[in-house]
Amino acid sequence: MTWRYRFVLLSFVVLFLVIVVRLFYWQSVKAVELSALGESQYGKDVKLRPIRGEIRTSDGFPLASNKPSYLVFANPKEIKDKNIATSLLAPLLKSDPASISALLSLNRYWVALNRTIDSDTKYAIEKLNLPGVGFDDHSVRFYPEASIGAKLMGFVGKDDAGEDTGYFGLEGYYDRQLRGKEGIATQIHDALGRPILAKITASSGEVNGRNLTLHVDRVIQYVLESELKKGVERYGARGGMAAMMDPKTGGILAMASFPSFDPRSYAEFENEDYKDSFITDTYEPGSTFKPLVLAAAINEGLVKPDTRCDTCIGPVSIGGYSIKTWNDKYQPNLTMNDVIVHSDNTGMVFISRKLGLDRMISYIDKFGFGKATNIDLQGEVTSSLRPRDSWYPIDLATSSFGQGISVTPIGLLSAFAALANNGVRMEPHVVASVETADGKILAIPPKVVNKPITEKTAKIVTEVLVNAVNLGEAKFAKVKGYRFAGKTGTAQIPVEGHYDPTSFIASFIGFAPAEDPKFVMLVIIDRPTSSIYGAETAAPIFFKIAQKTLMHYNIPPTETNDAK
Amino acid sequence: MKKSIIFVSLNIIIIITFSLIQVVAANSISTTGIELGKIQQQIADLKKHNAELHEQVLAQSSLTFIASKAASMGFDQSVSTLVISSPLPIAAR
Repeated sequence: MTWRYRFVLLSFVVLFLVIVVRLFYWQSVKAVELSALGESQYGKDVKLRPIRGEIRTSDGFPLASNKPSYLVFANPKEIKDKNIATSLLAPLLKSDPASISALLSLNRYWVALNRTIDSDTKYAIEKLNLPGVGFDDHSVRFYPEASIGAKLMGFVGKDDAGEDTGYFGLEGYYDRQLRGKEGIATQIHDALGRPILAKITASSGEVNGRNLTLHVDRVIQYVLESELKKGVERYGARGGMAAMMDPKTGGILAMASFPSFDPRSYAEFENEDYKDSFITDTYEPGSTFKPLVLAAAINEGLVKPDTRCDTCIGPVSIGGYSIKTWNDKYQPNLTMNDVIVHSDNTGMVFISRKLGLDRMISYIDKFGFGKATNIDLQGEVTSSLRPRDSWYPIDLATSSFGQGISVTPIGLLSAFAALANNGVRMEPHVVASVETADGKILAIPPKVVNKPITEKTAKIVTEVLVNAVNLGEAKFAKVKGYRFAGKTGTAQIPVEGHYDPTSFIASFIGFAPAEDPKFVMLVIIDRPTSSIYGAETAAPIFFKIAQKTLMHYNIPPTETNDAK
Repeated sequence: MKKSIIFVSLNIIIIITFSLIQVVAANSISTTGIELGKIQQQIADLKKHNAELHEQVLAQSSLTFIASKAASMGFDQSVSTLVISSPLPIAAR
């Protein structure tokens, strides 16, 4: 009996050990593999794509939103009469019947007929009741204002993995905020692979993109863009750019450049068209640079508006070069005020000599040239400044009237805005606030960069610039009734080490109302053909935009004598 | 013996009762999933419809659309400003 008893006991022990070992094998060694196998049998992971955030103007209207779009697919094996299906689908899909017919003839269970059809087309196809034709919905970018603000916004394209990615402008700079976070969910299905419930369960981690609210005013953006476009066409220019900024906050109220592109069909445009020249190009600012040099000299106590130039009797010779005025006319004993009003280059050389190289370089640095403005747009470049040792006397002289020194338009606008803001330079910014997916508003406060000049200097230079508008070459274009402070610019373009005698960049920079500036604006026209002068091309565009802006802000005229 | 028969019978009755309750309950909630699916589909359709209407509202309230519509209706842009009030003179003689 004993051996039988022991045998049975031993058998049970052995069996028990076998079971323990086997359980250990399944639950520890093969755990991950079996878990994955189990999950694949009852469900599959599905990516939940977040909705991309909107880009809104200051009034809350979206410049970039999203709209439903559909992928239309077919199962060729379910379509009995392919000729009829082709003849019905091709016109609705706006496709070549031959390509639709070829797709429907493939020996497959699934073919994509079109990846981006709109709702109307979808409903029209649904009405056909074609067996084997289905839809898959997704979201695509939608631009209610069409190409308005295209350069500012950038566009949404695909990256290497085929995912939506923002390029250029705000879409590029704020891509991570706008795109949101992808979620993963499990779609449970039965043994035959059919979904058990219509609803995807157990979603995790999906967060929609954040919405951006801009400083950009929709009305001003529309006005600036349409007037700039008309101006570029009217003056036969190669291109043009303009931007308006609130000098007190640094908020960009509008920005545009031409040639431009349509974000709805960005692939049809050249790469060059995507760049926002206002932040990606450098140029020689010409006479629009003069007020900053004058401000530096006044700030240092070297000159006053009524200081007279005793060297403005004729062309000035420096290092073998002869510096002349733009019209080759000279006025002895010109005041500093007149130097700006008449845009006199010899007068600027007088100022630069008073200022000296070290102070000139110091103020160029204080006004932010040679550094990025840190505007929140993708692609900003930095203008390069020559090192201290490479400055020759001629460089000091020419830079005083904005030649031989390159700046970015946004850099010049930012520096000039300091004159309109009591000498305080603000960091230019496009986005005013960010709205999170749960509705929390994160405001971006204005940022002070520095104070290159005193409030007193800013006021003095403002009055000089008011005279420049009222008495200068662009006085015919001025909007009556308002006090504008501004300066024209006509700069030669350097090409391969010398200046092209036939190509010019015409510009106008200014702000209004001079007593309490609401905006500062820079208009640049690239190689105008009807006239080379900023006073005859950029200035009229500037004042047309300014007039509509003042009306939009309901700012009444202050000079009633000449109001019309 | 009699007690065990009663015990077994009672158990059978309880099992049958609970089984019947389960059948009735399962029957009554068996279509809930379908209903839930329909409601979820309805929510998805309404969301889609809302998105389509949102798109139409935005398209028709854009300045680009309004400007072209106004131009087609004969409206023109104002070219001058009329200011009714004027500032008081600082020192009237």
